[in-house]
Amino acid sequence: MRLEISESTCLLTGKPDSSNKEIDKARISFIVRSKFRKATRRRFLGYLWMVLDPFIISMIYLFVFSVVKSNPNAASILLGVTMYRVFQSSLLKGMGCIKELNGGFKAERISTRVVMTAEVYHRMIDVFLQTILIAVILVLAFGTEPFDGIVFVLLAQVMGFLFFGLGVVISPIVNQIPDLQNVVSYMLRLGFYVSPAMYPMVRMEGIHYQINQYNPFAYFAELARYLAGVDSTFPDLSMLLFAALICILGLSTYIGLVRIDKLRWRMTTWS
Amino acid sequence: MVVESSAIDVQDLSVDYHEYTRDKVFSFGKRQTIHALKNINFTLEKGEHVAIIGRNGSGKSTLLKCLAGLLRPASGTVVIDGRVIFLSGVDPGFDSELTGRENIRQLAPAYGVKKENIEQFTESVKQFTELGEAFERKYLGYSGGMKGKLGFGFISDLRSDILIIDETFGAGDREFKKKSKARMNAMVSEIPTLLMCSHGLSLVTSICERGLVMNEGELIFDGPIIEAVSHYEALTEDSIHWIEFPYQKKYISEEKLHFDFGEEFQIIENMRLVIFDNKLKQFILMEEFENLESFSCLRSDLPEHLDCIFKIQQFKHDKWYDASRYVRFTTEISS
Repeated sequence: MRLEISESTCLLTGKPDSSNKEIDKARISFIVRSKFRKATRRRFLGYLWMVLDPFIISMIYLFVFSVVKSNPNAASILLGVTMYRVFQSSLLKGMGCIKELNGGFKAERISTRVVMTAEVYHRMIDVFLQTILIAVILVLAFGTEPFDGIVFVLLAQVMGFLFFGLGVVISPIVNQIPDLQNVVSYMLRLGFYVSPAMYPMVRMEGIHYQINQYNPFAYFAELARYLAGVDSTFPDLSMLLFAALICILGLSTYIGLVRIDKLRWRMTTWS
Repeated sequence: MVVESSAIDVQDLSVDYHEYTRDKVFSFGKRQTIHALKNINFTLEKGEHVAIIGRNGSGKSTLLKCLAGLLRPASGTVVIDGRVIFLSGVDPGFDSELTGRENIRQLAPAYGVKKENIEQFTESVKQFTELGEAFERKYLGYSGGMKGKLGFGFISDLRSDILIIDETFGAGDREFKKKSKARMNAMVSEIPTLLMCSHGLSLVTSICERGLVMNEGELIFDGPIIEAVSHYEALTEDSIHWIEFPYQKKYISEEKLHFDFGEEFQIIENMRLVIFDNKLKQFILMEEFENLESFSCLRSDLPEHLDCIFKIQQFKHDKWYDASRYVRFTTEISS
């Protein structure tokens, strides 16, 4: 193997043999495990918190809505809040991944492919842990078909991946102008109340409804509700717009993942 | 174009750092460019052991990081043939929540240790570091010295085609330092190609045969290590408060060598005497002073030819610096 370093790239050339592939696998596994360790460290329940967290948060909102007598639907809240948490964590992870220049390794350069594969695996497992309990509850307590429960988990995976990609695309801008981190943080907080996270779109009217027709998260949340058989406006939404939004997100994910190597390389001399 | 036997080929390499600084409260800041390396050119053949020497801030670490693929050049190219391991500090990426053993077991395969060898590798690190039951405790609770031992034990057991070392010494107590040095020498003898930077001139002279001297981001000398060290010493002459080699009386008898420093010169505790074999071009002895007024060593520790160079070094800011000009003894014997 030969390492070619220039202004534009740091490229490992030559055909990787089986031992190189083994090392890459071990690195991916190390990075993923280390990310989860960081998220669960010193906690007695460890990974279980990741499974319980969306459920507990949903229960809190359910309680708040019950107190203000807004006649909430528990399944709708469970789905909306969980989907929003997946959306938020995926976007933020994508925005932050450019800082993870070497996956925590300090004695050897790790290829971007390894770092990004580890990021994607971590995202997939994280989204799975965030959604699996909710899917089980929907099936056992709310009569959702097991197949639809599985589709809900897969839908969250797709949405998580697309918003992770969007985060990767905007990460260099956010890193160059740190003030944007505050703006994104406020937008996400506002988005939680404006988007159909705590309540379905059927409760929205006028301009509030119209804005959400251009909100890609709204389509995923409403589709999840539709699959679970609770109030949803998904059949009334424009499928053409949904397809266009998916294409834009898909394209941005593609651009983000293609450019990440160059961005990561450029970042090494920034401070 | 890379020569077939080249391990590292560096052509017109320049590296710039970009810093964003903010001079007002309400400001987007401005970009400042620092030229850390300027047009560096050299080639390292496979099997060569080369040292980079230079003052602090001369660009040594930047060059090594760039060769390890951790920094982007502003211009120029580097081609490296083979796997590179970069030792800088003694933390290869340990997780504070894992025990010493767990850290070694998890990191080893990621650094290329084969599955079937992990157990043996872990035991070897445990044995070398002498951490005892602390090896089974969380890394978080380790002292600085223990962390250094574990890190050094781990990285010095790794093998690669090219080893790049940026000042990875000095962990642990005196006994461990001796062990580390022996281990490092063994490691270096097994590594095909080595590029290292250190302020320990005695160390680089004993390990490397070629030296590159850097100053203000430029490569100003490339040649045999002894000449490189002289070049560096001439370069730093203005910045060092040299002392004359301070003996008042000296003798080399049939049994021993003796220096009497007398009352005028006070050897302080962080000084050591260095003896260099001028014929074999290698260091014989680096002894920290125990008696602060005189120094003795056995005649049998010195080479037959007695053509040796003596100088005093001082330990400052975690490194040994030359503190005295050297004196050269030849075959003089007195009593």
